[in-house]
Amino acid sequence: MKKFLATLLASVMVVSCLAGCGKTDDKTETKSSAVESSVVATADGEMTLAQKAIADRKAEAEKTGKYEKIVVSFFDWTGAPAGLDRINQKLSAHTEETLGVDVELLIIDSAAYSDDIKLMLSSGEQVDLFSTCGPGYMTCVNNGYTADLEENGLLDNYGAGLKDVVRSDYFDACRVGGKLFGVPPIKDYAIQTAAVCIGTEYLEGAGVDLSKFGKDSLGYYKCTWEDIDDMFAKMHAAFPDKIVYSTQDNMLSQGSCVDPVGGDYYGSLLDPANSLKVENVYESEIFKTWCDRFYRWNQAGYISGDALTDKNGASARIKSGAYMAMMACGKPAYENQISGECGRPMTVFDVGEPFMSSSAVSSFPWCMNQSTEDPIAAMQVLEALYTDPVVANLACWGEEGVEYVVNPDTTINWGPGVDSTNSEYYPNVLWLMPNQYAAHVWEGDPVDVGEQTAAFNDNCPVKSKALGFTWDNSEYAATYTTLQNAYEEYAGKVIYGFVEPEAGLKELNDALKAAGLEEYMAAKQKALDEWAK
Amino acid sequence: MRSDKKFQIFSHGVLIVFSLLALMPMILMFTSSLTDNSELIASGYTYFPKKWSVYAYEYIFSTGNSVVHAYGISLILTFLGTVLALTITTLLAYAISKKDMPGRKVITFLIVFSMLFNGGLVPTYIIYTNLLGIKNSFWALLVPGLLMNGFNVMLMKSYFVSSIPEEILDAAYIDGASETRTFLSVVIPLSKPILATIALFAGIAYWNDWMNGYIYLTKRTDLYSVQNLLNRMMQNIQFLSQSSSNVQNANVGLSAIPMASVRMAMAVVGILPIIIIYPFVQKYFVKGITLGGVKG
Amino acid sequence: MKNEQKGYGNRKTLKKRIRRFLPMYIMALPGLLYLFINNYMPLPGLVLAFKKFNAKKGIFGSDFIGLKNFEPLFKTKDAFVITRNTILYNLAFIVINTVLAVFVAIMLAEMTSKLKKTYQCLILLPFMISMVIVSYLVFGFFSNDNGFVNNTLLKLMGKEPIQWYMEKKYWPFIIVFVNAWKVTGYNCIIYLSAILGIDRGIYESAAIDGCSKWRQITKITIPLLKPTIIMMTLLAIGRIFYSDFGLFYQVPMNQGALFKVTNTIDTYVYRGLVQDGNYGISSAAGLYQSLVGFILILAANLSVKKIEPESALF
Repeated sequence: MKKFLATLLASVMVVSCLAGCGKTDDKTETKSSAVESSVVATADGEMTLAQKAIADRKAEAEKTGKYEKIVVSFFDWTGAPAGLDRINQKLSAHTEETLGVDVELLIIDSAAYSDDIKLMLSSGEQVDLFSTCGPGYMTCVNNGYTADLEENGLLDNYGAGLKDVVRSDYFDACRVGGKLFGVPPIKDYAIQTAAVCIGTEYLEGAGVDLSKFGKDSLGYYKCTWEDIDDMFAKMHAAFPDKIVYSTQDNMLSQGSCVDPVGGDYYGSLLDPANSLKVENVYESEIFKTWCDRFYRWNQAGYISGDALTDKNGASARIKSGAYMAMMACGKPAYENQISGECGRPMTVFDVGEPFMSSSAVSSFPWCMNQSTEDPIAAMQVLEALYTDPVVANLACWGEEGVEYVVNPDTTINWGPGVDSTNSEYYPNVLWLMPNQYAAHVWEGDPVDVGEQTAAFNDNCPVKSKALGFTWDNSEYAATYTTLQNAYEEYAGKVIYGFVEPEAGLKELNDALKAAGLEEYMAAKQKALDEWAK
Repeated sequence: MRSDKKFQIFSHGVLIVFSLLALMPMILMFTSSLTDNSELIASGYTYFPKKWSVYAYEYIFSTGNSVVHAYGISLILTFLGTVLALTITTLLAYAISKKDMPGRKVITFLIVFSMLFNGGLVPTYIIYTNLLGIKNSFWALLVPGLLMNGFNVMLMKSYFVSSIPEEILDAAYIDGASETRTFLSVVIPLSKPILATIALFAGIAYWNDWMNGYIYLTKRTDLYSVQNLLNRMMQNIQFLSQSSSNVQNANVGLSAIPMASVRMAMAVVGILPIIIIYPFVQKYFVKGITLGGVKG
Repeated sequence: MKNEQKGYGNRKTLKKRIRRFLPMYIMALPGLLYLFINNYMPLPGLVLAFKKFNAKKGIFGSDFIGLKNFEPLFKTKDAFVITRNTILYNLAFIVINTVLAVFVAIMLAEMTSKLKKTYQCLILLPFMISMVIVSYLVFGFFSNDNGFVNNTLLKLMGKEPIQWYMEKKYWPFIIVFVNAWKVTGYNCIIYLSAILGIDRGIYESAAIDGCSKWRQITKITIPLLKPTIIMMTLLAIGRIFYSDFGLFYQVPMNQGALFKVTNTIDTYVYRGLVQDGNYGISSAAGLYQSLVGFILILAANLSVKKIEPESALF
């Protein structure tokens, strides 16, 4: 029987090897030939390299009668939209003219995207460009899914237009070990921390006088935590049946300027604008202040007894009418958005400060698959996604006259008979698209929202010194796993104020230290120091 | 006979308790699917909601979510899958139930081994996608993982070994029946309970599966089964509520999803056909086997 | 097939035996083919457990890193807790679920009333819903503020509400109960079909001899169920290092305060992987679970072979 098994296993190995290895060999060949051809093209003086590449592809298409195809993948909320084929045809009709390629958008629903895209990238299926929102940028880089965008002058020769829309320091923020693996989507990178959102009706009902508060640069009421305490007390007295505060574990991520450098809070920068010292945030005053605050709120009855277990979103709870306030982070035009989410007019109070963390820009850049057969074409399509309004509009909004119509002021609205429930193309993920500002602006938003956002980013006064630092923690996977489990075990009680902070924090910190926090922090500090050099 | 009567009363008592235990949470699921979403969040799940609402069902059946189409796919898939799975499983199980067959132990070992070890998601995916090329096709729903599993084979083999006496088979052979005929006209009729069991298990597995669609149907959402559709909705809801602080901009349309009640309504939609179809399968579980007739 | 080849007990050469069983091999073929494609072809992928996966290099070309991927399973102070929990829960499941399933199956099989169809259907229902839904139903009962238990049951009894999701001591019972609730209907079908496979003639003659129902059950049904019970137990032992992720992660709502009694190998690994999605570590965990199960099943099978050779798996 042993012999039989051995034979069987061996034959299995052979078959799978053939299947697997054969594939990779193909890839390497095509890749090296692509690089060669770019060298050949250099000798040709008349056209720019980019134009030459386009002309070559068109000539090739004329010969074979078929354009080569670039597949672009990202997620939406419902999976492939009904009108996707039509949009892909429109898109290709345009890009055949401008770039000499067909473009296929491959849209997968948000829940499956992360697993699906990793499988496709692991197995060598055709995906040329993809959004890392879902699997995560560092995961993609660590697993070797991503191509170096600057190899052989790829970006300079074929994606120069990208440099006009993405600032060089934002490119640098996406570098890992000096190599550029991704281009950040153009969006808000900075946040206005600690935006406390309170239902306007509750403020009125509790008789809160808003006239004493000034406004910040985004137009939100500027106030202190004492003011918030004061308002909560009044609201609690006026609406004893309602729960004051709708919790979520965002005190650090949205309520502070602590930088989770390297991707997690196990070792963070407490003063990221000025210092690169990795410290234990859970022993810091910042964290203790939060725990004290929540303990006070919990004792005062502002927090639900189910805060630890309730998995509903903070805004969904407010929408239900049982909760009155929550905290998020502010940005331009946020009050409209949160009011929509909470199903009632909300008033936003700015208790924090503007901040841009080290990972804000590199949280989900667009990447190119390392096994793409034609990196040049892929780069040119990427450039078009950022710079060509026709491409951007099709990808973001669908077909003009069907999915949307353009108003005289260039804003857009639903096409005839179309709304969010029956639109055949409505991905609704503008914020992960390469450049939403290359496309039209939706009616109701300021036409210059792109400029406003750019200004908000560029003028952010507290930018992390570690902007662009990334860290591969796979050497410390065991420690990380233990830390994560220790955090989950001890943090919940203390961050929502169910235990006395002094004791709760000690318990949390003891557990984290026993799990190897110090060793982990030291490793992170070392990597950071090396990066800073 | 008195003891029998006592036994019957006792059994009714116990089974009523068990059934109620199973039923009560189901009713809670049903009533909460019909409760207004805001009330669910504010005051929790209840058997007697103050505010009823069918909005969760409207949401599920609204345009864009072609639940009826998906029901069709699920039914075809479950039917085909069950027939195929039952056939393959029965044939293999019968073969390894033969005590004298050379290689029987090796095959049995290979089956048990396959229940313990698996190559993992990535290699399996590569085999099915690159080698067999079934991605984005109906085959992707039918074949990977579900067509046969070691557990069912072992279960069936155990039934063949313990419930089909060798004497009956011998009698058939002596009568001149071929192996195939013996199998079809002696073994199969005597195996109705286990055939019904495996058919039910395979059917449930196919009906409940969403993993295959999740992984292999990236372009063909028109092939989504009911569970794929429901799971997509459910997972998207979860994705949103979990990453709302990372995905800072989760847009307005999303908060319109009545999450709490939709979750429950989806469970009801997914389970309903089983409740309808189950009684038809059940008749095979009712009567025992009498060997007397065959022995005759 | 020819008649003269039939008949049992004759010593024959291997070649002849193989020829006699040719139809059997043909019958086994589709199943074996599927087994090969679905289970054995991906197996070489297990090397991922010893590699740092890199898509550029492929599964087989990725760098070999020894046992590093196994570290999260062993090099941690939680290793003891997660291993203990996984094993103890599984042992409890094996005993309790088997007893319940056999018990219910016997009652269903012996019941004369038409109602048995209804019972059987109802008891199977919980198996049909996903663990996520189960977790919300459990939450409906045990929620601190709005739960049925705190708000109705304990109030009626005049007792103080309990913070269920913060009290470790209740959860082993809740988890065992939920699991039994979910799978009893499914498992009992297995035993039910085995009971129905018993020749009714045996019962009839026993009844004529004046055998009481109870004696019929203990003297006929249970002994004849033994092979099935042994097989089910052996197979369960093979999966003793695995745990139902939904049951241990979703149902306790991933509550940190309950980790001491709810953390298993699967949930532990998952929590560490959420961020990184490392294929190497997940395949290492899987390999570890499989190996232990494999060794245990071999050992258990060996002892069964000694005591009751008929019931051994192979």
